[in-house]
Amino acid sequence: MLKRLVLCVFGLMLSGKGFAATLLCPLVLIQEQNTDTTQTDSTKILSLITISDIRYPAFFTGNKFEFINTKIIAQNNQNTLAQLLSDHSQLFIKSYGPSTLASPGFRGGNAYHTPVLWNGFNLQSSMNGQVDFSLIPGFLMEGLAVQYGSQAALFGSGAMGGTIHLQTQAPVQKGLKGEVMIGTASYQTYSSGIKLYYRTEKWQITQKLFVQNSLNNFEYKNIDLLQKSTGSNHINADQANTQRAINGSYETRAWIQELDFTPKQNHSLMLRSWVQNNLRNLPPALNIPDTSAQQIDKTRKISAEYKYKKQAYEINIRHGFFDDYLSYYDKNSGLSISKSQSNISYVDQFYRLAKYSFQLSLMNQFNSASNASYIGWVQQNRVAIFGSFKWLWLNQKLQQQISIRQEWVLGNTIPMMPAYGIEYQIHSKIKFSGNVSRSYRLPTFNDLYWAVYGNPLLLPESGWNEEISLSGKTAIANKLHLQANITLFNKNISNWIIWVPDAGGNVSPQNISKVWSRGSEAEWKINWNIQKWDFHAGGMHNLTLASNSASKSMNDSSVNKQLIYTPRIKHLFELGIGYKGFALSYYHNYTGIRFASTDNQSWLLPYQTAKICLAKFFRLKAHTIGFQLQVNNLYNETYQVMQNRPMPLRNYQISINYKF
Amino acid sequence: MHNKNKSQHQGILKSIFYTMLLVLASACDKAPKSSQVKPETADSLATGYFICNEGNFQWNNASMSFYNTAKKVLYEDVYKAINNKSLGDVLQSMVIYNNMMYAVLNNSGKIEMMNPKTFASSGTITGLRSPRYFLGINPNKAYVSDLYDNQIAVLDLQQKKVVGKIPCKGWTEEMLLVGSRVFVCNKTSEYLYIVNGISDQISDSIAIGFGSSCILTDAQNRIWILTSGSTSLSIPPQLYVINPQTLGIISSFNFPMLAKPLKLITNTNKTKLYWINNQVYSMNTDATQLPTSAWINTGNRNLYALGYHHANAEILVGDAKDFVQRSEILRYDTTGNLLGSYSAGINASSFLNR
Repeated sequence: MLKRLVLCVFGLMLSGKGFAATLLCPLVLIQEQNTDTTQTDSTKILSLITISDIRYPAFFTGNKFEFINTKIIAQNNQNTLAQLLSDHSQLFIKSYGPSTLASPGFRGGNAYHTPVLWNGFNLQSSMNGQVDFSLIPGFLMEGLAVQYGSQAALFGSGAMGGTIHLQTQAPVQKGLKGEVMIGTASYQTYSSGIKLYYRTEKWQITQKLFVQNSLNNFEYKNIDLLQKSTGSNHINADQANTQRAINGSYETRAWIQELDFTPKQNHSLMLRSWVQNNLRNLPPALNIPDTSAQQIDKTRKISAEYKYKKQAYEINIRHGFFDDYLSYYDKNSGLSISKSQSNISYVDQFYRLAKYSFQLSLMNQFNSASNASYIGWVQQNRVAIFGSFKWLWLNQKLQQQISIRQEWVLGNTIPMMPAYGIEYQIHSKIKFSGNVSRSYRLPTFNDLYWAVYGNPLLLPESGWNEEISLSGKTAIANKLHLQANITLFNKNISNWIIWVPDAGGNVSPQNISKVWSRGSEAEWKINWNIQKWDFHAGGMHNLTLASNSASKSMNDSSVNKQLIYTPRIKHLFELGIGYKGFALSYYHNYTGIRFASTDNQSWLLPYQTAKICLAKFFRLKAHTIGFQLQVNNLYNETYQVMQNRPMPLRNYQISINYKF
Repeated sequence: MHNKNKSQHQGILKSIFYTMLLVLASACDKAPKSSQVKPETADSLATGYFICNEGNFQWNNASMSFYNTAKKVLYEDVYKAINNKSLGDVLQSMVIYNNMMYAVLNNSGKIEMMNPKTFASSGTITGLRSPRYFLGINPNKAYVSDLYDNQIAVLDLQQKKVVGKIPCKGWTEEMLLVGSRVFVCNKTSEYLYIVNGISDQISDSIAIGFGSSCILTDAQNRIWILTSGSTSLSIPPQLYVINPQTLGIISSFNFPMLAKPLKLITNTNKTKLYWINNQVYSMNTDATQLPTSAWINTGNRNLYALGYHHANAEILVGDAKDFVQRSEILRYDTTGNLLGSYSAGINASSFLNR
């Protein structure tokens, strides 16, 4: 068995680009279906050996929290987090094109306000405050969860718009389990991945590899889609020339290892590593000469964790080391290299009783970074203490929670971050949730230390967030399942950092904007099982109004206008049919106007994209083979998410998975 | 019990229905209204001046506006309105030379040519790396300075293409033709370069502080050069006056070390200089020292464009605000009184008299 494992891993590492073609044998897998994790109760107390990557799940009272269905993750086994979250969550992904920068927008916030957590460690860069979602392969994740709204008391700086939890979680069955995926897609894209899990009484070993290569010469229509108040732009994509992207090729190599050791029922030790290299050529924006732009991202993430549990008490001690390297080159601006490192330590303690739960944590984070625009290596140390107390009343129908965080950055005290959450089961099928919290975001190293323009006197952004939700679910005759949820949110952030021209004519970051975001999010889901047929339908709908109320200069026309690249409206629809191992799904995405100027005098019109996914699974005892065909941009829509950055026309993906 | 369940289900179905109704109500995102004042006849573009709107880097939203001073009407994005295509990315500069308009699109690496009266496109010159300014040498030849190319491009205006390159290290900027000599500013050098406009070769250079950007002549045919200085070399921004015949420095003026003077222009009879240094400054060409206070204080603004409209003797000042919204153009008379203002395109950076 071990030999098989070694051979598979070795084969994958050797094969690189040709892997998909050479291994196009019936090795395939489709994720286990119908694990409807959306029903997982966030208040469920996890047993010690079920290791979850979601931290403090018992202390999310009143926060909207959603798992992305594992079926969706399986359908996106060749895609990155960028496509996955754009089509299946309420996030707006600012995509500059396939495999080019993709950063999230969430409840009127931006990439800085959306932490991405891996084993509870925030992956946002200390230099630019972002995570590039186009760098995270969907295949590597066993699960994905989206937490809406602020969670600054638990997750610290930046947790203002929402938080993404990456889950890497081995199956609980003993023995060797695994998954092999090979796929190909339009524009000479080849993907292959393998996941192997081996579990004994005391040990759990996971090896995951993912390799992807693409020429990425996608087709698009060369058309100017910008609309202006001073001139209507008649758009007729039919008359525009179809072109192919140049200089878009990329390759991804990723390797995740996990080792868990549980010598006794109440002790466990976990080691995790994630190594990934991406080489991307960056296609130029429309009608701009190619400058051979190329970006190399290399990341090394390592974490170690020890857990001990005795009755109601549990302690987790964990440390993460993160080493990131980014080089960028283009013919005009030359080569620039950024390096950053973070060491993050946590001590989390929990005490859980039937009616009360406590959590108390300590954090120390040391970040350092270097770049030609900094003077040497810049450093920052953060220390935080935070805790939560949750209590259940009225036969557990009423849950309430208070949390508080105190953080010090380079010895400076950050204001206290309190939060209060409530959940009340109004009725057996209807639940009310509410949350009020304070949040903050520390300036990035670029904001603080960029030569000449950086502003070391910047204050953290500071905000208050409120949300209320009503959710209901019911089943009729155990055949028709209905779920619906509606949420209203409000968020006020002051000292919002933007780069503006100062009195000396330099553009530098300042604590100027006051941003008010408010809106609503609605979701519904219907499942209907009738004999061997399974139908489902669903939708997500959001309205986000986000505006800045502070004037940056005289006669500033941006005051009280919608923030740029923040769509007011996004709708997602989903329809699916399952029958005897066949599954056909249809997804529709409507994204509203994105303003391209702060005075809202120019904009990009709404776009609609759709995709269908047809899959067939063959099951034989513990083996599953699945074939999957996906058509993206079904209606061949010409659209740009960001001005002047074309998105691909209709394109195809096929993959074969084998799971055992 | 059964009935109770049924009513619960109905309640939930109802709430789903209302949720969907709410969703449908917000279903489509209405676009704001667009309206354009289109130049209908050549007359629309007969009297007035052009505004060069740089736009944003990589957004392909550069535009050219025309302000008709007789009708007091602004025509926006005239190139697109007439040619039905966008101008390009980062409109660095524009010039009318020999009855042809040349718009230098920096990040598109091209020059769009058009009829200055009708704005109809008359061709495109491509193959430029990062062009900045156009200087006509004779009806057949022009030079184009460049940010990254370390060369000045030589254009054949009849063939509409690049026919040669003049090596010149660094970021070449504004240029001036005096006789057969071309004076070339260089933003990343301590020298002003002189190119022989006949042989297309650098013939000489003059040491002048650091980082020259603007160049023009005054009524006495002296050359004025504005430099940006270098904090790392401890060289302040400076104004130089040069004799174009002897190439000797007549005088020089030092700005404070951290000043950011830009956009040097003159009035019609070339006896007065204006520039932006956070606010608008003015100085007579026979002055012996720099002004100590601003000529016009515009308040908390981000001044990015300066022009002189000769026909009406107006000083035009562009406020780029946050660089991501329409600029505000302020009009002043020669005594500094505000005459009015209007909005132009994104990042208005210069003006061109008809």
